[in-house]
Formats: sequence, C-alpha cells, structure tokens
Amino acid sequence: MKKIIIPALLFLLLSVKGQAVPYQVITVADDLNYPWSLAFLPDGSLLVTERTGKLKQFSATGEVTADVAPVLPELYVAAQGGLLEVLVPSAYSQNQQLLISYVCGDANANTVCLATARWQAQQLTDIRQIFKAEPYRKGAAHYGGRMLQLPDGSILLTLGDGFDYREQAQNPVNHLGKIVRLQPDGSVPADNPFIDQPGYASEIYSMGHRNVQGIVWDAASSRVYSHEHGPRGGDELNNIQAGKNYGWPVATRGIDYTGARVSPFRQYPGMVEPIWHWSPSIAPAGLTLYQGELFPAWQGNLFITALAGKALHRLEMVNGKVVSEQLLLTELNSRLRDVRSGPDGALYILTDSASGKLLRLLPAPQQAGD
Amino acid sequence: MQTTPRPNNHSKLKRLLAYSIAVLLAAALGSIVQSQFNLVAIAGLVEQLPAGDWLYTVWFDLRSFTPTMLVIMAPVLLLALLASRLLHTTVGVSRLWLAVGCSLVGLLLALWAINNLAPMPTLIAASRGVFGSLALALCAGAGAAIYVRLTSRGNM
Repeated sequence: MKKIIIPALLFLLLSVKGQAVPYQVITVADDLNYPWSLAFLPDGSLLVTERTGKLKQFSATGEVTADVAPVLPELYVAAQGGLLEVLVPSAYSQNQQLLISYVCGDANANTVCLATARWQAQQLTDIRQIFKAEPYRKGAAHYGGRMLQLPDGSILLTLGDGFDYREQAQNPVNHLGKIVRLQPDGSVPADNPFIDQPGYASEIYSMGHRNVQGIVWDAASSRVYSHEHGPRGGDELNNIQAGKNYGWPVATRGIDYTGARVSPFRQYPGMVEPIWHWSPSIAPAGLTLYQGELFPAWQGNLFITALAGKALHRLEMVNGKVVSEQLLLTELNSRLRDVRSGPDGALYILTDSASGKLLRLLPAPQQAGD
Repeated sequence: MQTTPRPNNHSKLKRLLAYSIAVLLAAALGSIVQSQFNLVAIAGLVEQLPAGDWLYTVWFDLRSFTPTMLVIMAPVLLLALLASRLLHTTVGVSRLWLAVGCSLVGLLLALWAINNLAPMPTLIAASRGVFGSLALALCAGAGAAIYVRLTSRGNM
C-alpha cells in the first residue's frame, strides 16, 4: 500500500466547540480520474467509481484488485454527468448484486439511470437498467445520484433539478428535484407517500430539492439526513421525511450566481426548513455518519466533504440538531468529493480532480511520553 | 472635397456620457425584466406572492444583479454602436434602427457565448427560454436607442 503521510501529525486548532482530535492522513490510492463515490464490500475491500466511467476495487491494504469500465446502458459522460455512485446493498452477500447510479442519454436528452449488476471475479456482469428518472433534460448539471438503503431494504435515490429546470422540483408529476424510493429491483414500494395520489409520480419520497449530493441513515435516531447544493449560498442539511417538500426553488437562502434572487422567500408555509445551512456555499458533496471506534469523540457525528469549501466538515448532532461544526483537512486545499465511515473505524475520503486521491483518516500515532 | 468634421474633446465627452447612460439604463432595464421572469415562475408555484415581496425582489436585483448586466451590456453596446456606425456610412439605413438591430443581435450572441463558456447550462435564468432572451435583447436595443437619441445632432 502506498503510504504517504501528509503531514505526519496534524493537531487541529480549528475546533469551534469540543476538543481537537489529532489525526493523520494516509494516501491509499492516487491517480483516480474524478473519483465520485466509494463503498465497502463485506470482505473489507473498497469499490471506487470514477465519474469518467471506471469502477476500481482496492484491497483492504490498498492494492488495486480490479479496474473495469462497466458497459452501462446509454452511459453519458460530460461535465457533472457520468458514472456516479455504487451501493452495496444488504443482500450483497447472498446475490453479489450492486446498485449503480449513472447518467444516461446524450447531450440533448439525458437523465439519471439506476442499474443492478453482479460483481463476480472482479468483473461487473448481468448489468440491467432498473430505473430511469423522467423526464430527459438538456445540459449536464445537477443530477444528484446518491443512494441510501433504508432498514426495510428499500433504496432512496437522489435526483437533481437539472439546473435549467429548477421550477420542476415543485412539479410532482416528474422526478426532477426529488428523492425517489425504490425497491432494489426497481419496483415501487407499496407504502411510498404518494403511491395512490393522482398527479404524483409514485416513486417520489420527498420533493423540492436542488442537487442532493449526500444522504445517510442514522439508526440511533431513525433519521435520514441529506445535504444539497444551494445556488450562491443556501447549501442545506435536511432531515428527510417521507412526503415532505423541502422548498426549492420557492424557499431558499441562496441567490443566483448572477446576484439575482431566485425567490423572494427564505421560508414558505408547508415547506420544510433546513436544520443547518451554509452561506457562502461550501458545495457539499458527500455525507457519512461516523460509527467507528478509532475516534470515540466523533461517534454519531456527521461528516461532510465540500468541493468549493475544500474541507471536511464535522457536525456534532444532538437530537437531530447541529450543536457544533469543525473544519478538517483544510490543509490539503483540495476539493473533497466523498467521505465514508470505514469498517476499520477510519474515515475514507475522495478528493475531486483528474488525479484524485483516496485518503484514509486515522488517529495520530501516540507519541513517546504521551 | 468634403471632409467629415472631427469631433472635438467636448463632443467626445458627450458621447462617452451618452454611452455610459445608455449602458446603465439598459442594464437596469435588463435587471427589471429578468426579475419579472423569475417572479412569474415563482408565482406559478405558490398560492400568493405579495406585491411587497415582488417589489423588494426587483429592488434587490437592481442592486445585486445589475452589475452582471453591466458587464454584459457594456461590450455588447460598444461593439453594436461601432458596427451600426460603420454600416450607416456604407448602407445608408437609419442609424437608430441599425443600432437597435446590432445591439439586439449582439446581446443574443453574447448570451449564447456565455452559456457555452460558463460552467452552468444557463447563466441568467431569464434567458432559459426564447422569450426571456428576446426580452433581454430588447433591453440592449433600448440602450442603443437611448445612445442614438442622446447623440443625435440636436442634442450634441
């Protein structure tokens, strides 16, 4: 395993509240082309997607054990689009089936697709498209594409507003700006919130989203947290509940990149307010709940990678509310794409660039005399 | 031989002032127009959009969005006015209509170029559709008309 400690010890002094925890950062892999998501297999190995179309497997010790370019139906790679997330569902041990979100179509008509595929002998086989978000849109921005498996086995898939189609986030007929809930085979769960409501797409779980780039389940509080990009300002952390409307573009704390107001409203009746927000924007891009044992002080904290913010945000949560925020990894000065709590108790982070890195964040080694 | 009188410094200053006024008014008009497109879109999503919120948004955009329009309008109007001046001497069509036409086309070209170069699909939300783009282009046309009016013989 390629180990580069950068630097050897980093004693953090940026804590807003709480004690700084010394950590070290180890580079597990580099030369990743716009890595987008990472997931752990039951054997402790890692799967990493590259937005440009490759899926790589790393052993627990960091060796590349697979490097494949999955033949996904209609895969479209451009700007923010391409191969997005890989999810290892709970039934993986029985059926070796993965879920893969990606952008499908072409420059003039594209959308987010979801596929199942079997991971066997370091190859993806039996690739089947099981869901295609509707409608197609033009342009290659705001796809969402993050996934979460709920305890009942169903899958939440986040879907962006397509940038130019922001008003559609309030249109219940389609999937733009929504979080949808599906079964792992792509079918619609019978208890979805709008299943029998005329004029609503049956897959919708929540609506009024801009570009959700992180979603996580907190078993201790039975909450789903997600974050989404605001425009200029107004990035949000939300507690996602079935059937709720999260406001975009009617209720937002952000303004357009040009300086124009998107909407007169910061809040609006019937629309859920975020539990935390960032202005100016940090561009949150990954989200995990830390449940490892290596950092006892961080148990139950949310970790968020930021692209524009170039930091790892640690949010201390109490009863569903953020009580403190700390910025980590600012010394890297890198856009950070994804973060996961690893089975070994370390935090795993992807940087965002054409030569992206997979980093492991560990406690700093005890020094003599400590 | 007939010679065109060269503008003196006083005349140049007046032209510069007229150009500045034209750019400023066109940008402000563009800001007001784009606010209407955004507000109409939001109004279609809510039960009520109070007049006070509507006016406040227009005022907010005039302060916050107008600088963006200034950056776009200034070169568009400059090039359009120069082009219309050249065309006027060669084709003999009304300078006013040439200036308006050139600035209309110029702003549409500028929006097209910006949207192809900017990281997001469309920089100005109002220009997502044909009507919004044309409305913004008309603002540039209005700016050109103001300049021609201010610099016409009677006013120089």
